[in-house]
Amino acid sequence: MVRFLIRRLLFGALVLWLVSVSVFMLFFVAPHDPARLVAGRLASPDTLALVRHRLGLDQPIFDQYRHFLGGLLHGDLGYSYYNSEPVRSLLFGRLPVTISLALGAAVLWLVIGIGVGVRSARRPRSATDRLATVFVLTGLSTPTFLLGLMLLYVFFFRLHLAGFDWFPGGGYVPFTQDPAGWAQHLILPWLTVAIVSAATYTRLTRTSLLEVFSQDYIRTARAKGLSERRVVYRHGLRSALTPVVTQLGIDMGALLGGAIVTENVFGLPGLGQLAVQSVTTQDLPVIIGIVLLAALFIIVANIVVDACYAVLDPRVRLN
Amino acid sequence: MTAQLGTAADTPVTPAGVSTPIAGRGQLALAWSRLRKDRMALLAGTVILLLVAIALAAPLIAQVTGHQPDEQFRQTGLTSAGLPVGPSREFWFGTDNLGRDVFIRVVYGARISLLVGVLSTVLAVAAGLVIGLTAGYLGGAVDSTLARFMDLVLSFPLLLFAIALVSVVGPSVPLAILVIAFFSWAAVGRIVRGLALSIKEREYIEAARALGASNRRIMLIEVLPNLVAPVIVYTTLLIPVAIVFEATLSFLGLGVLPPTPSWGNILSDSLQYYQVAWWFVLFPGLALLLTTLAFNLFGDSVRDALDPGATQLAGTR
Amino acid sequence: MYTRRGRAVGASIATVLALALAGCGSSNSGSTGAASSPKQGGTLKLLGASDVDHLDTASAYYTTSYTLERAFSRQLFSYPATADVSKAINPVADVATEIPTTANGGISADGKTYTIHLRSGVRWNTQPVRAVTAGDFVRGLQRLCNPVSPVGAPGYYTNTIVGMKQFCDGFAKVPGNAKAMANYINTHQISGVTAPNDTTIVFKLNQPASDFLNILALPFASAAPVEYLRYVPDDATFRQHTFSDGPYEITKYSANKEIDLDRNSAWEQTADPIRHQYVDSIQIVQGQSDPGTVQQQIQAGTADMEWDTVVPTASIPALQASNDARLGIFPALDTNPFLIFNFQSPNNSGALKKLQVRQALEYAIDKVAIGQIYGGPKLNTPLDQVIPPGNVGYQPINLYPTPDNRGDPGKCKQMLAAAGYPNGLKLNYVYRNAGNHPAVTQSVQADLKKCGVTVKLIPQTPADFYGKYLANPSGAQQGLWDIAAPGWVPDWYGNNGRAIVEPLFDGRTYGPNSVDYGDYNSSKVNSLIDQALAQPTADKAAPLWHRADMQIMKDAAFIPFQTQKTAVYHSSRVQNTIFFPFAQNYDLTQVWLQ
Repeated sequence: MVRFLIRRLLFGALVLWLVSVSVFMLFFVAPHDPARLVAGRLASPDTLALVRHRLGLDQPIFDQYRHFLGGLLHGDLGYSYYNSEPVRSLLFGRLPVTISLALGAAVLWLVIGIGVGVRSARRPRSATDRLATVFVLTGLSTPTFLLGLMLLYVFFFRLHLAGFDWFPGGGYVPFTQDPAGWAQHLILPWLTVAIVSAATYTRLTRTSLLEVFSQDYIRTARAKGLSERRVVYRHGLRSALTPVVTQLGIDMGALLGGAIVTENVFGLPGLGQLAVQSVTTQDLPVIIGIVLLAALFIIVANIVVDACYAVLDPRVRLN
Repeated sequence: MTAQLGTAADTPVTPAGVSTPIAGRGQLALAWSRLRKDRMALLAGTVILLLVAIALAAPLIAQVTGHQPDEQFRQTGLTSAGLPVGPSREFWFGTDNLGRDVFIRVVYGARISLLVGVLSTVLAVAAGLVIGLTAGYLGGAVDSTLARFMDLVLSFPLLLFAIALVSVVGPSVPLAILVIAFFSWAAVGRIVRGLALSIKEREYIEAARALGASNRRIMLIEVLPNLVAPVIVYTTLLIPVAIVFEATLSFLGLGVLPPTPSWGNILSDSLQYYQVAWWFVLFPGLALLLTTLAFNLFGDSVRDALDPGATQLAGTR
Repeated sequence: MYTRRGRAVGASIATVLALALAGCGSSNSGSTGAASSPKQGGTLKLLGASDVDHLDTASAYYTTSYTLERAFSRQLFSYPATADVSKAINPVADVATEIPTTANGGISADGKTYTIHLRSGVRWNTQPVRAVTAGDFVRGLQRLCNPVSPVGAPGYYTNTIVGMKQFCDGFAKVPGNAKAMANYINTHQISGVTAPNDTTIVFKLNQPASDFLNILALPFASAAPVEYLRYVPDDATFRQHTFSDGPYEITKYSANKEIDLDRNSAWEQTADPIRHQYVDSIQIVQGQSDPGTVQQQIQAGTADMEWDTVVPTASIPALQASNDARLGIFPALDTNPFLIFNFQSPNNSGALKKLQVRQALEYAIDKVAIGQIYGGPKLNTPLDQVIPPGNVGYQPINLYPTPDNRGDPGKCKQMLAAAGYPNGLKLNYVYRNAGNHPAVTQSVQADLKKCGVTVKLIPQTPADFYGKYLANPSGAQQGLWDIAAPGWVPDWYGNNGRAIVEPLFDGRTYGPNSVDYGDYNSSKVNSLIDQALAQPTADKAAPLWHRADMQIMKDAAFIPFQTQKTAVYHSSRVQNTIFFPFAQNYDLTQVWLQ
């Protein structure tokens, strides 16, 4: 187990390095000039040269990359071109928002997805099942931004005009400051991310559970007289959860994608909003920082998923 | 966006597969007859064919209505304040913010959405199939390298990298196709690899090898046919994902270039006007929804046809 | 964004303005007047998309930054808060005791020396509180050309004040750390700016400038306390240590997220003839990029005012129809957008260099359609010349009239054929991939198509639009772009030839830092500009600016589209909303909350 973890961690480090190189190189594919953005539109060529020098943009690529890598190994991600703030503090300042959004949405979609999936599997082709299928397919087919804007319009705007100000129109309240406000501001964003993703898990759980139900040991359990609840939850669901766990690992990567769109729609000051801003302003250090952070998150999540997998399924461990 | 591939849960990713993959060609014929009898599949399949037909016939349709997709009807298609006009006999789906016919634009948008969706999926599946099969079957060092490579690609934060790439290089249809394909193939590859790994252990493969068949022959003749079925399922399920991904790229301003209509960029333009021009949002939104629904339902039916065991058995309770 | 401002002097300007505005049907209905009496207290909440470009007054150039600077910075002269536009664009004394004239000795007989006295009671919110001195204003000007975050429009100062150019040339070579810059400022003077004592400041100009007070009224010329020398201008540390001599002070700055301001206890009403201090605090929340959502929040009452977005065009007709009193529509006195030609482009065998080709294209554009994109004819008036109404030198010109301003493709095609292009042209059209620009681009593309001109669209981010294309001479020479549609709001209004005609059409300063992106260069126009700038009063300069305008249009140097009105909105509890044209938003120092 330990060897497995070490191997994965080493590989993860390699991946991170490759990701950093890729993003770095990406910005030298098409020449651009962040110096002009920082210096201002009417800046003289002298000013531009000075700004470029200050940002280190006049050095050869490899020097810039070496400098960056050196800093990285000390935990220093450099400075944002756009607002001269250290990238690290920029990212960590916004991390709680994105984590709040991601984790809350993940919990919600697992609960909804698995819950509906189980009900569907227990009564296949019933009205519940059909309804669940419709829900699933609509969720899968709706782009996140569309769902977010519709939720905002109905639950924020129309309700407010009708006199019910239950849901705020956006913005973020830190948990440490006001837990109730934190949740209230995040409900609509959570729903936006969760509904789109829950669909996958509903279908996944349903299919997987149905397959498990056809196995002999389930028939045995039922023949033994175990209650349906025990059959479904203790015996069925445990095996059925393996593909769900796999999917969760894959989805960690997609989570940031959902966050990008949702944060923009609801004005949440998280990493996703920062990502779009820094791409528009070509703030390279910030972009690299976010990509690395996201890649790190995906790698760690996958390691955890693989470890859980090994725990759930002894056959994997033996490999 | 979530990668939908793990939804084909009948073949999860473990070296020792939990369920048996489909074997042999005779099954395909059986599957086809099952599919033919499934009403949902027929309905979804018809919708898809209709869609393709409409996309192909777009110029013809434009001629019939007399409206081109880029034509701006500033006098009849806009109120004096510059707002879109609603559905009428002249404009079946109303107009957009520049006075263009939404119906025709949705029709032409089908071309782009289908093109991007289908092409990127085909590319992704082809790449994933080749690489996954090679890795899974050959094993050893080849497998290690290729599997690591797939893991690397899967570790890239998808949308983020796509945004950065498109913003640097500039948006275009070929780029959108390549970007979507690049970020989807690895998931396909991983699953194909898992399947290949398990098929490899089957007896008839060993037999073929004992008979002296070359690796390539075995891969192509014995293993590949068994992958066809799941691959078809993934393809039909990946297409709607690709179509929605293109819509999201358009929302962020990185999709198909105006004035070329795609459902994504029509939707993105419409969002500012939804309070005064519901038709501007509804019709492209419905088109998107219907298309993805159709593909998803069809994919489900294909999967049910290929592996009826699970659902049918449970249904006999 | 990128709006410039100016000032008007003289009765004739005011008359022209009144005439121009009379036909606009402008409604200042959003200005709720003295119906209620001032109330103290409350937190004013602004909601918007982006951050200021700079927090340092020396370099802040966005219109939104002006909204903020109005609250925490003061200048020698500034603009009064009034609903009367003709008064709102005339500078009045702010920290200065009075407007200098030759009569009161403030301006010398030759018009080249300005002696300005500072009033007492203007103080910094330092610990302890201390008075703002003439030396602070000198320092403010010295910081303008610092090498790290320099002023975006140095020309206004280097072309007028004696010794400013030399000072700036020297400063550009200084290393970009706080110590070196402070050292330079402390050891070098701008020879044309002196402070004989703490309450007097003397300016010496190269030549008389009738708009000098406008130049001093730009927030660039704000005072700067000595503490600012400790920091690198506008870096992250600086942004956490700003000082205020205005009614509000910045208590929290979180980049791209939030800016909070509280009452400045060092400010006294008796020493400030312009601003007030009614609300307790101001909270600016950023990160909501969709104008529709911002509008929803203000309508629902969860926000009070827009920060940097405007009312979405889709919402305006409904709000006007219901006579919503919270909606305000005010003249922007701008020209936005307009189509420029790349005079250096080799494409189509240098077609754009030919006068007849450009004149043909002047007939192609449907200006009413462009207006529809920005909210319709109530908000946008077609413009057919350089100088928009409300600015010095404006007299209506229309050399290329089309029926109802909707374009005349037949005439365009005819003229193109006569110019030697019967099969039309192929032009590269670079545009900004944000806001209304894609819609404008497609509208223009359709218009040009009817005239036989095929357009290749090149979308860019706003940064690259300027950086890679328009402000890139070698790109222009290669023909990377043929036409583009930037916009321009003058840095000040009224006597602002220096802020419209000069920057946009004086080809002598063409280069990467010029806004004459097309490299239009006419010796006739250049000479008219020089003459106009040398006039002692705006009245004398006006006819010269008009002649320059006429010549530029005769040369078909560009295609103007329209002049606009801005639509802003506020929540119902906000009272006394007075539009501040320079910020294109309501004046934060005038509102109170019910």
